[in-house]
Amino acid sequence: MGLFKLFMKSIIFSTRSRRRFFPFVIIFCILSCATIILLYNFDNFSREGLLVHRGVVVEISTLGTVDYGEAKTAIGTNIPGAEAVIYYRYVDFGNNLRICSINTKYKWAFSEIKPNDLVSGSFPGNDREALVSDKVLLTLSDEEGAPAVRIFTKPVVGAKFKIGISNETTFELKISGIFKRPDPPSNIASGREWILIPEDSFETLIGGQNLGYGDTQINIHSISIIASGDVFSGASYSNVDRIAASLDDLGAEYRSPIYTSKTDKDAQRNMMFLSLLFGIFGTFMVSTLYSYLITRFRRREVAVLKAMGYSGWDVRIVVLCEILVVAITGFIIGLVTIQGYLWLIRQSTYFYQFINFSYNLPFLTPSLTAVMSFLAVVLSCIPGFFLITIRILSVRPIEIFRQK
Amino acid sequence: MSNRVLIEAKNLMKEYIRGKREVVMAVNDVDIQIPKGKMVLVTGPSGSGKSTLLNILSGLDKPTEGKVLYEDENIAEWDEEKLAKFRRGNVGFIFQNWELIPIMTALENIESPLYPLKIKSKEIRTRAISLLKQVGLWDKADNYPDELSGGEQQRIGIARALVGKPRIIFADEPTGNLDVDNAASIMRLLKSFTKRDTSVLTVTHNEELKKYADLTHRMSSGRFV
Repeated sequence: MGLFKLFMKSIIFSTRSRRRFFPFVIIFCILSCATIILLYNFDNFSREGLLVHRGVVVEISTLGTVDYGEAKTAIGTNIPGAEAVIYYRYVDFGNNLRICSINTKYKWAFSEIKPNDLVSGSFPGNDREALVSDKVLLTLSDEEGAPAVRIFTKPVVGAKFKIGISNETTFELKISGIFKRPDPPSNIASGREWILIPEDSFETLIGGQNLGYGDTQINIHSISIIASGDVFSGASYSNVDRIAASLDDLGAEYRSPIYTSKTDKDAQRNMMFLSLLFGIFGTFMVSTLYSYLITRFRRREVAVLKAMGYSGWDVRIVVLCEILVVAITGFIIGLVTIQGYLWLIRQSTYFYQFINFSYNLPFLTPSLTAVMSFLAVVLSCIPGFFLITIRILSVRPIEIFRQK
Repeated sequence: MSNRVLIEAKNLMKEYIRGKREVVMAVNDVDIQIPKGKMVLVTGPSGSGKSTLLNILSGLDKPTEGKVLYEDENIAEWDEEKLAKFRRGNVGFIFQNWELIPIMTALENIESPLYPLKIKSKEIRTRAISLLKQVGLWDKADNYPDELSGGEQQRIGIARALVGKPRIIFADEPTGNLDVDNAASIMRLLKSFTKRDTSVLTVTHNEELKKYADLTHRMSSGRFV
């Protein structure tokens, strides 16, 4: 009870030393913004890098389309050394819509959609969820006068919609996420809105009971071959290289396997990681400086507290609270500033979303990034705090009282 | 050590090194007893060693030689953490320059010694308010130290020293920065606490304060004279 009470009181008192508090809140705010952005970029890079580090993508040539049956014959589903072979199948609906299959186990292995293309929501977690592109309209019709393929919903996360060629054979899906369609659009998706659904749902929807497409009517967008290995160590490269070489024999209908060379990718990743470390190191330096200033300005107060009977840990709590209050206040202001900035940017980009205010979530930075940034900012305060408190606790109160 | 003696010091010596080689004997072979519920006054000119003596008896400083006995234990041998614990439960300090914490209000300054203790917030507040009333500053409860006069700050310092219900109060020049009326008022207030069996050790250069003391000592050049 005693320590908790001291903790709460110290939090209150730490905001009263305004000469120190406000300048350092601003400094921590700027550092937090930098850390959030750096971590966000690094996180996105790592996730995007996942595919090229772990797998090989075979994209269909711009010259023609390849049907599912043909692709399966050419590549098969069991490649030695590969962890999985994922076929991204699609069918075109009328003039406006493309339905494509995705694999829920290997999220973001689809070369066309990356995590930072996600406007809101998340990757589908089960078979009856779907990712839709942001400009899917309320009602889509393949041609005038026909019964029409219709989506009876706005593109809002959590909303359910139906696809079918008649009212009797509708297929219901829930929107798990909305993504920004790649711009410029993919070579074979130009002008169409996308609905990405899990493989099982794709088969059910496209099959005989519903839309009735056969294997030769289903095209392949791309094939991702997942090689096993550690993303960060780059240990999988020999495996990736071997698989890539074996795919070269498949002929002109396929592009060469796409991946950045290990050296370039490592250099990019190292640079980003270095930037992130600088962000965290900056916070560490500032928190250490702040701890130093606290102990310098509050040296006499600390001596009084110790003379009154405060133990070493009691004094540590007083100092720690002041550092944490400044760091956390700075972080929260930084986070809100970043979110506000992103929100405003997005509002100006998507005007129709501005009208439908509820469409956008106010917090756009992934929560994991925010949590990681928070930990980076707060934890980087701890070493500085310990360095400084060792210094102040080693001084006896009487030595400070003697200094006029 | 008698039952009526709270703190007893024997053969206390304290040396300082001034400059590079000069050895200064701040306290030289001093014996002193502080009885329970009595006000002991140590007077002497500046530099006579009285503040050093107070610091040693309160556990803030360590003697070069000698013992400071508190309930038959020599506190001069204790480490900082043990001394902090000792001061927390038994000692109240009144500092010459008041040493109030500027980011706390008058009421919070009085409460501050109790924050780390396992005492309920309500009880802490009750004690602090009661003391604030006793020192006549109830209307200044929410004022910060820089909004108080010297005499008011000293009263807050006294209330802070008493809030933990200490067994002894160490007061270093408690009236040093006050006018005659305020000084008399402070001394009467300190004297009143001895009736509750609290001992008070006051060091001052003001010989006129002897009239408030039960026991007096005069120091010069580190010795009692």
